[in-house]
Amino acid sequence: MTDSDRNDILADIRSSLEIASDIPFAVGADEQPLEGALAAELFDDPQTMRTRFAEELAAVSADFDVLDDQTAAAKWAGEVLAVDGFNTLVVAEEGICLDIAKAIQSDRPDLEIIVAGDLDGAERQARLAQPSAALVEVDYALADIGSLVVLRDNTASMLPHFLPESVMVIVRPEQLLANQFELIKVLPQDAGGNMVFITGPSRTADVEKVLILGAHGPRRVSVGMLESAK
Amino acid sequence: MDKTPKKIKKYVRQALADMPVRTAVANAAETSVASRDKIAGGIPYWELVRRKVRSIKKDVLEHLDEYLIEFESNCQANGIKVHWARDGASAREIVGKIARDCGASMVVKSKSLTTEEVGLNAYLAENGIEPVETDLGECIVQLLGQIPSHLVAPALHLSRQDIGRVFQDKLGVEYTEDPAELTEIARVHLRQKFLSARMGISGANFGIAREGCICVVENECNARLTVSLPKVHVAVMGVEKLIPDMAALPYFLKLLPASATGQKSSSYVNIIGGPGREGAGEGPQEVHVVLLDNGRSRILGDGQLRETLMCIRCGACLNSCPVYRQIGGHAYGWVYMGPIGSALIPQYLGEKEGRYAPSLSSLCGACREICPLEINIPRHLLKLRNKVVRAKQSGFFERIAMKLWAFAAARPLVYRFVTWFPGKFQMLLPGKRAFPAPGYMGRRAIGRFDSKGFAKRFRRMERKND
Ligand code: SF4
Repeated sequence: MTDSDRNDILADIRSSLEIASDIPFAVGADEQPLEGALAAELFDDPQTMRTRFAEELAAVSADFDVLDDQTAAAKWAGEVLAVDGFNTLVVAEEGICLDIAKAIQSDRPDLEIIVAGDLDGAERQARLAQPSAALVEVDYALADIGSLVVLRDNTASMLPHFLPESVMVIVRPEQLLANQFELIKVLPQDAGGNMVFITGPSRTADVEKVLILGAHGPRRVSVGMLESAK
Repeated sequence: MDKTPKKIKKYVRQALADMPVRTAVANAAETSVASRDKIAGGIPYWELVRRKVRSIKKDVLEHLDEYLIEFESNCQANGIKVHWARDGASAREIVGKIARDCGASMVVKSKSLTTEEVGLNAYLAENGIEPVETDLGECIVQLLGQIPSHLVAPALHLSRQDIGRVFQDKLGVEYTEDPAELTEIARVHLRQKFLSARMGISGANFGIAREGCICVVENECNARLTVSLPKVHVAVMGVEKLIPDMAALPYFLKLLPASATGQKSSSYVNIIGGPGREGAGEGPQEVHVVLLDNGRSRILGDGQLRETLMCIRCGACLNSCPVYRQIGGHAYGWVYMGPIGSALIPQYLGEKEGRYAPSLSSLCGACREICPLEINIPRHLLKLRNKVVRAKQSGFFERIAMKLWAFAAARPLVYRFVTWFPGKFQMLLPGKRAFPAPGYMGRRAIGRFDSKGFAKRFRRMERKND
């Protein structure tokens, strides 16, 4: 790139903008009715919001369960693991997911636990690219579209969210928000820059429009809403 | 594959003769419109969001210089290197240099029409750098040496048998036509590429000015892996792709997946705001954004056609277009196709090369109706047809015919004679047939000259009223 490219482009844009626009609609049109419509979309109570979240997850082929505590979470994760018969469980770092993984391991000594954050970059990629399952946390969940939101800087490794074939996600009730509009309001100031919304397993319909789950990322996404961290 | 919109007539003839492809494209388009309608119909404030997004885009285009400067400085503050490319050659060189500097002999790419627009793959290959398309549809058309036939679904024109054969030939696997097995073959093949690539290339659906980041929307997770796994990431983005801030993003994310694939949300929405930070989740060590002009600033200079820069490449106008449904994407001869392609081709490539593209439309208005941005494509196509004529790029016989018609139409007596004469001549055609209309491949006829035209009916009405 040369500075002249930059300056030329900006100069051309400025000179083009001297021509009056012929695009209808004024800026800010319909602002108020839209705000009203969005407000009407908010949920009356947390239970309705949770029900909608579960419905939306089902619509994108993801599972949803409510987990009373860590013991229930370990039982749930163990059952999900058994569906695909994986012997390796990946967690991003120390924390609640590792605690749950260890609880599963106490019943299943053959289970290998990988803490992605403890591995160096190349080894982490290679290990996680093998068939495996992961147990991860996210930062927010969105009820109206069944999305999970990860702020990248909040996790030691994001590969467990994307490379393994089966991904189990722990969500806390207070992380559930109505929609993306509400999310933007609560995002920390500096968080906008690095974020991923995940909505169901990876998918493709590139072969004759037939929907196939598990294109390059997870084939299975299971969400457990953990009521109590104990 | 070297295609050019100059040969549109030939491609259209070929496309119309290919019944299996016509059926596949028409069916896929119909399914896409139905799923789009279902999702859009379930959002009570759909129309309000459309208008909101329109007004946001209008504002961005009309202050594009300011937004670009804001985007650049906020990207730089986030550690993103921003490059400016005047044209395709400049963009290719910038990306090539970044690849050479990081020692990449192979790069993984997620779907990007902008890189197709500048012919990046061919350039990289000529310079000893293997470009690997990782979106399944793109991977298939790359293996076949083709260009995509749809903005969103690149391999729409191919059957599962075609795909089975190309995988067998090019990847050396056993033939299968099972979609799940074909997807698995691609997954295994491409995962190795992801793990060994030093550099990843993507486009950008949106550049977010205030936060200095880009947004890439996808379903397969290949864009996520393209960004996360290699050490260097390059996003090539048209200058018009900006939105003001994160607060504007949810409005666009309501419209884009619904219009593109009939989803409430795409499976992955990646917001990339700089290189990976120490101790935090994976990300490339270097992030580059290439801001591409390549004619966009010129398009901005037409107060009306500027609206075509609002396009978010959802592909909905293709699915709804009766012409696209019959001829598919390859007939347009370039990376942009369908109604919006018909409008973009002559603007990017010039009236000479793109002279036929604005005519690939019945002007029925279905594209405008379905377009989430309500871009008035039929109006723009009319203006572009006019520009083609003014640039003396319409066909020789068409020009002569129009001149003769204009001469006669301005002289009622001459007009009456020249329409009376073919009417009589037409009587000689067997079975009272009409003259075939030139340019319609023998599928249309000119209205019969001896029919009761407007003038005759009007005179009869006048006589009755008297
Ligand atoms: S013109 Fe409108 S409908 Fe067509 S691709 Fe662009 S945004 Fe979508």
